[in-house]
Amino acid sequence: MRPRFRQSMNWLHTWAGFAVAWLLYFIFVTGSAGYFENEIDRWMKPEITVVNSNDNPDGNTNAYQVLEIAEQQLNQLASDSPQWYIRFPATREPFMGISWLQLADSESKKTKQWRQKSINPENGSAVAIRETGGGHTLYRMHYNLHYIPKIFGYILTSLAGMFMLIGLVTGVVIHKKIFFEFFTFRPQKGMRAWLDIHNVLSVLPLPFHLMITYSGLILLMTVTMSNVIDVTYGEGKANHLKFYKVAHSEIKENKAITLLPEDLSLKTVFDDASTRYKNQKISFIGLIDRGSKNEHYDIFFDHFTGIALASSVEYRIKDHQVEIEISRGKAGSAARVYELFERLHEGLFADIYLRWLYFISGLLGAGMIATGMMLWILKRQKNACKDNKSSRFNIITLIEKINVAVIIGLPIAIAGYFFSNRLLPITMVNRADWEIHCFFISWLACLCFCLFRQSENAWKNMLTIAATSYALLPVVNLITTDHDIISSIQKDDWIMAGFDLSMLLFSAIFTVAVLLINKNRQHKKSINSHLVAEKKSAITSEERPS
Amino acid sequence: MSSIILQIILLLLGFTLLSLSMSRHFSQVTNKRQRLAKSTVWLFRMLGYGLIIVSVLVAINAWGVVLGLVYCFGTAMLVTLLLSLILAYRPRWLSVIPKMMKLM
Repeated sequence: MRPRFRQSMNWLHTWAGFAVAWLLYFIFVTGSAGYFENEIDRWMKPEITVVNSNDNPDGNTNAYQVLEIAEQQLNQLASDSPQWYIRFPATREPFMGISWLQLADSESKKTKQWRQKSINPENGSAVAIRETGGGHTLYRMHYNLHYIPKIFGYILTSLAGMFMLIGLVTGVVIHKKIFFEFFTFRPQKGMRAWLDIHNVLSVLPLPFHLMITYSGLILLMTVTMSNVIDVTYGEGKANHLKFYKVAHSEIKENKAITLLPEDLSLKTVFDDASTRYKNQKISFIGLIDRGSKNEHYDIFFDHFTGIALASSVEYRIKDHQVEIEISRGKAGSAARVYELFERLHEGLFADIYLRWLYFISGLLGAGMIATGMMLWILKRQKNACKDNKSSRFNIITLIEKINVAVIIGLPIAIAGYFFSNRLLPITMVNRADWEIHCFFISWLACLCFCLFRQSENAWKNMLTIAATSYALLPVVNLITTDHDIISSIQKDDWIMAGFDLSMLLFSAIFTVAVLLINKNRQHKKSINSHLVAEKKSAITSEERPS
Repeated sequence: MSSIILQIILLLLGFTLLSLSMSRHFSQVTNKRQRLAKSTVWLFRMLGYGLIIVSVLVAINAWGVVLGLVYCFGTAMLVTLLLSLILAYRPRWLSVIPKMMKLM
């Protein structure tokens, strides 16, 4: 019974993995990049001026100036907009800015969209930011898959997540020596080495893999299990909205304060909030539902308690009195569990150390999937060699080539996305869309390239291309903007410098991979020539006596 | 910051001892094939698990239960990954521990 059980689990592991490997790899890589969403965003908006908190010890007077400038700009640019936001420098986004919801207007051909501008605190000017998808679009791709309708994206990613969970559980079942081989990696042992590294990449971050897969499924459960909502609340968007209202209802505390209703303004709200919460820094002020009965101010803080964001505060006028509303978290325990998984998945609370750990864990997950693909190919090539079936060999070669195009092509495509941000003309129409097109065009180009190369060469060439493109990113940044690594460090603009340095790090990693391949090949060649020489000498020694 | 460094040190020591409690890795480090005495295996294991438990407690004390566990699992991932790379490519780096054992 047991051996058969393990065998069938092995079959399930192989084919569940094979079915969704490419999609999962895409999800893991773009999702990992998502952990640095804000940092990528900053790099892709080079117009932003970074504010250093140690520059202005007298924080509040400076904040008043910003508020004044922001309000003036918003009045000018967005007088008809229902929603205004003013951003103050925060830990992950150390800059000031304004954003507003632009309403659709058929006369001036405006579409409904969010607009934003950066504010330069030195001269009080509002700086236009180039149109870009930013880190946000890159991160959103890991669950909406971009080109297809959103709902299909959600369903496909959920499906991939389910297969991933199956892969993880069956993987644990079929790994006989999970503790004994916990640290084992034998790089010189051919196929065994691939299995070892696959195990290392799966077992060591296993808590992360299980958490990220399970929580990912939980996050999309209202899509995949919408029938459950249908049964109780009825079908259709309106009915589902009822469900969300009930499920996510919050405990709220309302309090009347001494502020006079006619004095209520951005400045007084800011003042009140910053005296009421002395040890918390305000990161956003929003003016929501402007001009309607429900007009209110929203304050967000740049602070986490544990893994929860410090709750926001609302100011509104009610019964001729100013009232504040403080949310005290979700009311239902199910919603609280959902929230816990959501926070663990997104890792917004993470400081720079944890953020890198999240990122590395995600990439290890991608590595696990990639080595799984390699093992699938190697096993089948071995069998094909044994059986001498040339027709099967061809399909496997094709899949191997696509594997290269996916595994190395995706990082190249991401580099292509970053390049397009710097190189496309600033005034281009639909610029943000074209950035994403560039992403997929570069990926497609990689695929075509790999299909026409022998797979052995394809690995080496693709790795070289990846190493070169990542090394070029800081250079292009230097040429097209005034941000180079050294001046960024001097200006304490650590996000810009960190991004460029990380790109150099990735380039170095790809270069090491190229060197390893070269070394391996030379090693193989010397063994082969050795074997050939031995064979020759054996043949000649056999020939001699006759 | 200091809690993070403490985490890394505690977990690195703990997992190193656990890995050395296996004859395979101990042989890798000392560069000769040998079977470990039962008492040594137990000593390494107890110390290793002990250090890991201590690091979990330290993390929970520093960051609270949920965040502490996140830090702990994350750091454990980093440390074990590092350790398996050291064991594969530079096992001699760990020979300090067998040497110290001999001195005792």
